[in-house]
Amino acid sequence: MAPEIARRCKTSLADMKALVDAFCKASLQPLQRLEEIKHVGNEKITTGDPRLDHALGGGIRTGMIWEVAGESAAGKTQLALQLSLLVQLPPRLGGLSSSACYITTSSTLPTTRLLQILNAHPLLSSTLCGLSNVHTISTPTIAALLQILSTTLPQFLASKPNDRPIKLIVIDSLAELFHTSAQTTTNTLVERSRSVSEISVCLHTLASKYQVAILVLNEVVDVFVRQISPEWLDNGLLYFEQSKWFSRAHSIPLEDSKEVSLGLVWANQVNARMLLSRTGRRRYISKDDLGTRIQKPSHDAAPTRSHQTSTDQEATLIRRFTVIFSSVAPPTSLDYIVTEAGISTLVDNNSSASQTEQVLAPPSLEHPAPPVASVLEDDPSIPRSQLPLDVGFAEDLTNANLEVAEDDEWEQYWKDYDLPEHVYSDAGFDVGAPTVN
Amino acid sequence: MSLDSQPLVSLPLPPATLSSLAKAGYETVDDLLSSTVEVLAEELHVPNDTAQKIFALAEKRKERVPLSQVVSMLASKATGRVVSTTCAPLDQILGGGISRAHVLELSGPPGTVKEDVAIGIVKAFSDLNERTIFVDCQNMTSPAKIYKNLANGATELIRYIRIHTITELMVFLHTLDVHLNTQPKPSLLVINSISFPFHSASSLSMQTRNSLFDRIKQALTKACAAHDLTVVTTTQMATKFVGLDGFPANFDAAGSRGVMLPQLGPSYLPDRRTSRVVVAPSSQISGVLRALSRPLHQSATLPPPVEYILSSTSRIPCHIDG
Repeated sequence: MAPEIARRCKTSLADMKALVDAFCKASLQPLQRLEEIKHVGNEKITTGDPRLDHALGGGIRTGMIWEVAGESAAGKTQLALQLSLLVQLPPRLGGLSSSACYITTSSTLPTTRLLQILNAHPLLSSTLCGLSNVHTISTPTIAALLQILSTTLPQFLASKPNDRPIKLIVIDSLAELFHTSAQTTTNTLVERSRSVSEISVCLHTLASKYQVAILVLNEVVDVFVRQISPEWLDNGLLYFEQSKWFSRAHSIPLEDSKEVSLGLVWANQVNARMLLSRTGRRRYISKDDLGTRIQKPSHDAAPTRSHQTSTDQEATLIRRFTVIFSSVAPPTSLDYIVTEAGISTLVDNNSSASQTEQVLAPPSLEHPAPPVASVLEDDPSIPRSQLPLDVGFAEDLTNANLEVAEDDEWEQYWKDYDLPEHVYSDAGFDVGAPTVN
Repeated sequence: MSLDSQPLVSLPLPPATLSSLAKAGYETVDDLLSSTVEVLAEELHVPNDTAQKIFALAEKRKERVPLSQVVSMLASKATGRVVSTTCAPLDQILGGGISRAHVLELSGPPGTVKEDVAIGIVKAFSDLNERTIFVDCQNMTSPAKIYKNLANGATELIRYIRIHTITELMVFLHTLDVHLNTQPKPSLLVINSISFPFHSASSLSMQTRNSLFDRIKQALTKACAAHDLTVVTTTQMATKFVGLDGFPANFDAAGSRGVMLPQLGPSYLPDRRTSRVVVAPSSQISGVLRALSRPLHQSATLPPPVEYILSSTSRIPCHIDG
């Protein structure tokens, strides 16, 4: 490097060498002893759901870029909102006593929904967390986002007093910034890849320098099938072949019909990639399915159930959560539902193989589903294995619109659902942080 | 002429002698040894003792060479010049393990186990009570993650640094000597996601990039040769578009397809000392390790791909038969 600079600056090589050496010496970062920093990377934010925490390797760790991809209304924003509140909890409850920064690109922070989660989630209470610790900023363009990430946020993080440091940064959502009407060409690809690279450098620097967790929401696109001539396969790694392993999930049928958007350039940047899928399956949810989830005291008629009575005999929509890859946990999949408390996973009674069979099997018409969920809970004589778990599967295949309608209903439902806050005031239970490592 | 025989030009002989040998029809060491001193003296019109000297040289060379690749690898393993990587399929493709004072580049699509394999190599060196400098460029390997994978007490053997920008990387390599001269000396350098710092340099010209690659190559060569340092790098992949004719093409070109290659190409690596291995998944838990290149002095044919499988308990690939 020195000869090059010397030539350009028309100075002597010896001088420039001395200068480069001095610069390097001055900017030399010391190596750290692993013994002293061996716990860096163990800081986690609970998702409020022990099974989900376990699947993620203990929760959302700081110092990493996490991506949540999925269709609209799959629950991405729910998860992000949930985490924005949970990060505020004290460590004994699985939080970091910190605050969150929620960056929106096209929408605004859904504060009403945030309040509903705060009210409904068993771990949360208004004495422990609130909207004041969710900072929000809107960045409608890529340039604005870069400005925020490179200048505004670092200043904000550095100036933030220690009592409530920012430990979670959400970007909702990255892909929206890259929406363009222009056709994909080499030029647009190059441009996109440059922007993605610049954003990633900022994000990784923030993540490691301030040890914050970065949660980036992303979209999915339809997979379009291409014919591959067999002779191509000998020719090294084909992107089209490989991308299905890092851009799609394969735990149940149809889950692989969507792939995460923004391509390889972005996929290379994330430390963990999660996919939320609306699978079109339905199921009658019983208490057992939710496992040992702690309910809000004095509120036994859990909101999750009241939804079912309100829509009468409808089974709940089951969605699928998959960790496609993660630097801190092996790939895994879980079923979940969206409740007013956010995302809630279901107990996985079946091995993935048998689950696949159930999904593939046509819904049994001879044995209509039991009408209400309470029947399942109260009648132990019905062997669980015979319950028609996924009754709505075939129906939803032919009628995808139904689900959209369902989601709208949900929106309406949340709007109407407003419990007085004192119901939950100071729940005061101490379940302790999940101990999964 | 037998295939693995050495050419005569590899013997330390004066050019005049070499050319008269060639004129007489001798091409390889084996050709020469199939003759006799007397015949040779007559054919070359030289005294018997000169022919004797040429013969002796050829015989000496013959004794030294016949070790085949595998045998020589075994020999170096016995002397500790090759270290098992704790990943059996990788050991197989490297011919026994990672060679000291050499560079291993591991690449693979997102989510492949390249980082876990790199940590496995750190563990192998720490089990020998040897020191490692670990550079993390993309938050893929936190200190806690390395710590979790090491035996108790091994943490004192590891030094850790985070580097995100190209400037930091160049400064680190420029001052690598400082770290390598500290006692006790480190034996292993891992640079995880070495392709990442180049994202901060996306505005640099091709020429500048190439000169940076060259600087890295020099620094690595020097560290390997002068300090007997073993180096492991991991890198992300990029897509190159290839047309129907097999030549580079644009994304827009009809029939073009994307082929994945390690992001930085081979030019930052010392080619005499580098093995490049790609992790290529064929499912979520299995795939092949594929050699892209091996050090120049080794035979030109690449070893065949080795299949691997991930067990439910470990992120280090193992052989399919267990």
